[in-house]
Amino acid sequence: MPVYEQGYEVYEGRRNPLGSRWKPLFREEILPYFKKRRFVFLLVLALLPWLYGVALTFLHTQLGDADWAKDLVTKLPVVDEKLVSKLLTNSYDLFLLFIVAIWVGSGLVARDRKDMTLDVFLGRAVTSVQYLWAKGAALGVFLLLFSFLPTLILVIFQVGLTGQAGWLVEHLRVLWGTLLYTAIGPGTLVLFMLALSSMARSPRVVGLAFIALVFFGDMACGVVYAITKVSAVWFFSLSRELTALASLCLGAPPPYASADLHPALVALFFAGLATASAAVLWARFSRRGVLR
Amino acid sequence: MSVLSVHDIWVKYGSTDALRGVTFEVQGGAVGLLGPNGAGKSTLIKALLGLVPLASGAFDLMGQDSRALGPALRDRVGYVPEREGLRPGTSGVAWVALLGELSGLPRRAAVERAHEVLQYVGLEESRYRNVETFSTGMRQRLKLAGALVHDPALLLLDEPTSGMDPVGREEMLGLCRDIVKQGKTVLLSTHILKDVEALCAQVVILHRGQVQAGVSVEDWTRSEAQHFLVQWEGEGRGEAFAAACGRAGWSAEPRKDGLFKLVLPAGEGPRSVFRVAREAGGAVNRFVREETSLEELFLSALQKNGESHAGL
Repeated sequence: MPVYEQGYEVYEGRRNPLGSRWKPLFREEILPYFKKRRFVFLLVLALLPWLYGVALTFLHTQLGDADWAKDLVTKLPVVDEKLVSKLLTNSYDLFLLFIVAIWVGSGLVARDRKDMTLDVFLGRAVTSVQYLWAKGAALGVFLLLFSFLPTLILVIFQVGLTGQAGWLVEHLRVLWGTLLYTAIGPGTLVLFMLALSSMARSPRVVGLAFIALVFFGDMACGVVYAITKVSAVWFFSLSRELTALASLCLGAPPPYASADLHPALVALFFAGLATASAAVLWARFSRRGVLR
Repeated sequence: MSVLSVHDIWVKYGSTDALRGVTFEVQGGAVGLLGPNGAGKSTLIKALLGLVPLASGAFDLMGQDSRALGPALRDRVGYVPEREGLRPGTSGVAWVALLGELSGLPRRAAVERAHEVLQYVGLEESRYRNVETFSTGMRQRLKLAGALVHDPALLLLDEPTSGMDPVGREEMLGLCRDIVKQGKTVLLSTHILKDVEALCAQVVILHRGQVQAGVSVEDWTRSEAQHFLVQWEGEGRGEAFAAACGRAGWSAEPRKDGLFKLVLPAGEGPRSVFRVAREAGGAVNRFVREETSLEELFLSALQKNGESHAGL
């Protein structure tokens, strides 16, 4: 029997509204990573520095009043904006943040271009904005694990262990400062990765371009700074800008002794990077160059 | 009401005009979109899907303006891309279900529907295999399943039989025929003329971004030059008959089997052939009307405009 004689069924069921069409793309982008053990292990590794914060919270709240431990505990750093700022931008976590950004972000658009599935997706009732939102949200969720999510867990621990909200009222900036940092820092990183990913067909090329721009950018800044001792050259280093941004958002002291980065410069860096990335995305998608 | 009505579409790639005022109408059934490489077939399909922006012009789908429909238009259209268009590492059923969800089907309905269409295209036994393990024919059928999953009214097929073996090709064409029987409209872009002949009642010929011709195959065949195979009996080896045909302004090409291949202009018919045969001092022993193949029609359409068809 020819295959086409097996009967065609007409679909008469309901359809989801147009505005929700990004959700399957988001799900398909995010779920496969949870099946990759190495990737999950990497995420767990990223939370290790935050265990230090949780331990400090425990010691201060549970042992702070014990006579035998009082002296020891008072010498330990307290959980406040300064500590959270350090936890957010410690070099170990920043390194892992970039690894995750490359792992997830490099293939966001490039993989669809490589597999030629971008035509197929955009040939459905999915707008370019929905497509980019789904892809960006997938990377954003993973970057939350390096920013707002562990902070929130730390705050919950702090409030839960003390049994009162006094600490939270006193350190409310920990929450909104981290939220602001997340929106500006990792948010811009998501836009940057999307833009970079839309410019190539190979995720590997995108990954290498990111490494070249970020890691070598950092190294170049370090070399120039060593020679000139002018910290304004950090303006071209993403990791240092993220560190400075966290300090500014959380009202912590500048991260480096010689840092003279003005808040306006930090704002300019992120605004510039976000605008350039958005412009690339607009150009690539509105003129459909990304499909060629 | 026509299913698809295209009005003066222009598409530009930089300073190059990829489509130049394309206008045609599709009433339903299967329509072949023909043209040599670079004629603008794929660009036209992408323009209909909104994958390339229109410089000017518009089109109506089921009587509704595409601009008013917006992205919702693509819920009524299914698309089989020419190029790969499948995600490695995904099973056939997961891929088709994802496409169903992107077209608005709820998750559960999309999975159920994916199973149905995969069975319809004959991939029910391979549906859990990863797409990268599929053969070329299976991939084409999987793409067709993806295009059908949301039950569209119009199917845009871009070279659907490309790279397929004869059996697979026949199966794919059979599927397309059945889809047309279900009341769907199929726009088949291909450079394989036999596929169009086998499936389509109407053709639109594109060349250098312009519609060269757009009529029903039947009408066109009737209106064009007629081809006959004629056996002439008389003195000599037919030189007199060939000369008489020449005088009448016909092409008479002798074949090895002793027959003449005659090409008569529209308006002339069998009576004229018998008359010329008598004038040449002989008679017609055998007379066969040859069907004008689409390929000849296609080449004639291009040659009329003095264009090269080397790309075909």
